[in-house]
Amino acid sequence: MIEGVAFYILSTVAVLGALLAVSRRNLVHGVFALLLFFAALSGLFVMLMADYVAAVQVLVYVGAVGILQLFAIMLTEHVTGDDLRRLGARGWFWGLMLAVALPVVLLLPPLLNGEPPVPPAAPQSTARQLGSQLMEHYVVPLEVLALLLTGALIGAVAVAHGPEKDPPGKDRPA
Amino acid sequence: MNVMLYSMEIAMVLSGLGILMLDLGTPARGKRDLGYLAAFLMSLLLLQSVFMPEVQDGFSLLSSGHSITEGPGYKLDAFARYFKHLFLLAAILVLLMAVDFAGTLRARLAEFFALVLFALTGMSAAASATNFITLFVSIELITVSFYVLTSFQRGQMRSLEAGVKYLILGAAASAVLVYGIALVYGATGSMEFAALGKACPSAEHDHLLRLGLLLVIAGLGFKIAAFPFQIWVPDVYQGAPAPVTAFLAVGSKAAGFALLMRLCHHLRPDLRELTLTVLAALAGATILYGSLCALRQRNLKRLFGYAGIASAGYLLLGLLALNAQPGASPSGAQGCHAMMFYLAGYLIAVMAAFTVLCHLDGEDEDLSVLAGLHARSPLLATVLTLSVVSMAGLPPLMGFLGKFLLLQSAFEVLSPHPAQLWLMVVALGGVVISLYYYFGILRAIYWGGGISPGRPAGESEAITVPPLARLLLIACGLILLWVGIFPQALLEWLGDAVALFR
Repeated sequence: MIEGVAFYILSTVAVLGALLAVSRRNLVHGVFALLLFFAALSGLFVMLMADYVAAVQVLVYVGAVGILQLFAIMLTEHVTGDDLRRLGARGWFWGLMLAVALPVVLLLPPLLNGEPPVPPAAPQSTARQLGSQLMEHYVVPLEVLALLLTGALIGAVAVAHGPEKDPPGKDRPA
Repeated sequence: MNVMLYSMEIAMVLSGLGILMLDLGTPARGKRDLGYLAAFLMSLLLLQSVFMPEVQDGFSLLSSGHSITEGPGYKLDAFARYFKHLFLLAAILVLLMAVDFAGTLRARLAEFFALVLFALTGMSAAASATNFITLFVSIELITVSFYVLTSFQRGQMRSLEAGVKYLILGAAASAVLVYGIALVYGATGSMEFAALGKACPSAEHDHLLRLGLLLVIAGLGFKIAAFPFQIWVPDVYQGAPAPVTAFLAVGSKAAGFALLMRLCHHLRPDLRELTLTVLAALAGATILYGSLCALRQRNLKRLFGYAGIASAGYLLLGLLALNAQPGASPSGAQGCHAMMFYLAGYLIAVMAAFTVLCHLDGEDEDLSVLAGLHARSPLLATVLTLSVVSMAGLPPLMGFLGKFLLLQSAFEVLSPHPAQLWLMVVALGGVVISLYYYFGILRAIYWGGGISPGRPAGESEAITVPPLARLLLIACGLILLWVGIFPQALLEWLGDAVALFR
């Protein structure tokens, strides 16, 4: 009973946070709404007995990612979202249709089937299991992910910096 | 864990990181040479892997006492090796193309070369993936590298636009893919592809599995640019720098198909019914869409983009054959055979065409830049002709046999299926339409003098092609001709690679 109430409260907060995050023009407000969403999500992870993932969600997303985003946004111009610099969205009707159709297609089969799946017995501590899986069975994908992050970092710097200033005979494009 | 199993990927990553380190001490003038270095290292790796594959086996024998070809979620079989060779070849040609393109690129070259190598690593891992974790991680490595590579010419609005579009649509596709993987995991309780071959505990689980499988196919459909997921292709192909477009057209697509082939190979018979229907619909729609949209294109890169969509449709026909019921008369090996042959021909033809594009002046890549090409540079005109004719699928070039084998395998598999007739009509119609737009390119090369009023002066200027690029172009042209006329050697070589699917 109490779990049901907690689930509905947390998911309402999460959905509201997500909606606010995409609808705010002011990017700083948007990031705060996103943080709200992350926090509610970590609550949902706790309810799923995923203690480690919930902790990481708070540490990494609410803590590091949110702060980084705030930094990045405050270092750029036009934070307060003036309406002139918006991309035109002509296809909003079809977007809306798709947004409605997707949950219907994805959620209808489980809803029609009734019978919620039986929750498995709670594992003792997920951190140990996750750790041993990551370091033994999935160590190669983990390394590939590290490479992915390296590539993303290098790429972000390369694109943000633009071309080097000293190629002979070519001036830097505006 | 045996490190030698991953020796190719490790060599690629180390080369990429080495290029970045060397960049620090290289003067601006010498940065292009880093591209030659990267291409040289990859050529060594390719030669070692083709001619001395036993070196890796020898090391694993020494370290563990027996030859290891399998790790968790990773398999180094003949199939994986073939795709790794294709990706290496593509990366070498792209790196050399990028060196010549450096003047137009006006960007940080070392980072560009390193990211090409990182994307190559992702493709190479994808060729070996046997579970969903490796699949997702390698696909993401490829895609993230391409997000950056696409927007590398950041001085140009069009390149940035391409990067943003690819980023947003790619992220949406990844979300679909990961949701599908989650559903499949929920239904089977395992991340391995092999679990797709076992029966589910209940009907509800089975329902989830089917839904998950469809979402996974949709997510991979984005990478191979199949019909409803192809929206990004024309803009991204047009906006990205030409070497990146070539790599995207060949590498990213081949990686998606390699994953789909492994996935379909493990499917249960009743799931094959489902995927057969879905893939037949996708293939027909993709061929039709790509061919029809290519008709009116005047921008060369967009034209190749739409042509690439159509060829993804033909490759899906080969994938249909993989979904034949086990024990049917044409086994899945035939479709696999056809796809791998077609991909090799497609790789050579696309790389040759884009190398030619890199050497044309003119910012806008309109068809009119080709006007009078046969007089300005007979070599470029000849190679572009060969590559276009091969893509159109005319004998005696390599593309003909590839397309023929694909059509044959699909129709043999589909012969009892009611969808056979319309799919045959669509596929053959696509071939006929493709003749029209491919010959539009040829017309622009040889008879296009009069239709470009904007550029009367530079018309007669000869184009000088650097010696290495000239050598590569000649090699590509000769391969297209030689393998087209004497395909037996390549087909026999492929025999080993498809043994998995028998």
